[in-house]
Amino acid sequence: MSQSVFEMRSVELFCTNNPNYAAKTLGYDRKTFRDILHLFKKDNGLGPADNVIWHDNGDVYFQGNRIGSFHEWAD
Amino acid sequence: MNGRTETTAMTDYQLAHATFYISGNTLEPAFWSAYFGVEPDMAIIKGQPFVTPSGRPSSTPGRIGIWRVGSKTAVRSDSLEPHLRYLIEHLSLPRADLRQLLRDKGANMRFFCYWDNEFGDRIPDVPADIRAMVESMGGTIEIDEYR
Repeated sequence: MSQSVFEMRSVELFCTNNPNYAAKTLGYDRKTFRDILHLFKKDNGLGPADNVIWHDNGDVYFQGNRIGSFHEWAD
Repeated sequence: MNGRTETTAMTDYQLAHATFYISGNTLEPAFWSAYFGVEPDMAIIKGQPFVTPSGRPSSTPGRIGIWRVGSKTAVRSDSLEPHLRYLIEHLSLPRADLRQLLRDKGANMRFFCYWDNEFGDRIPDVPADIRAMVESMGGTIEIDEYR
């Protein structure tokens, strides 16, 4: 049983470039998420139009490279 | 004008704020702190570990060198203009030598503005004189809008 759950989990790994979806999945309300994202962009040299991808463990990717963990910018 | 207004209710959340931001691959934060006579809110050296604003060590080294100072804690307004004017005064802008200095240091300068526009009915207020002044120093004003 536990093995089948793990397999299902591994297939359903979450990643998205949709901020609202990422906020919900990572457990932040929208305002908090916006604040964190703005800080994250600033400290990683990103601009307003730069699209990042969030993974369900909080890792953030930009142009295929992991650039940090979103949670590290959260209060 | 002291650059401070009271348009937000007693809450920590503001619909707008601004950050003055210098970045570059070889940026030396101490140089810019001395130049402006201001300590930054955040300084990052490319390739070096750093502590995020939340106090946590970043799991990745700095992607780029950064020296930044913001208006968020000094100004309470949901409009951009008071935030921008506060930073201009705080950093004694404009500065005649800044454009050339940025070139010499291989650095970029921008005002990076937070703009909450959840309902799509707010237009960022960046006065023409501020935009012209920033452009004259070789910088940009970027609006990071959230809907």
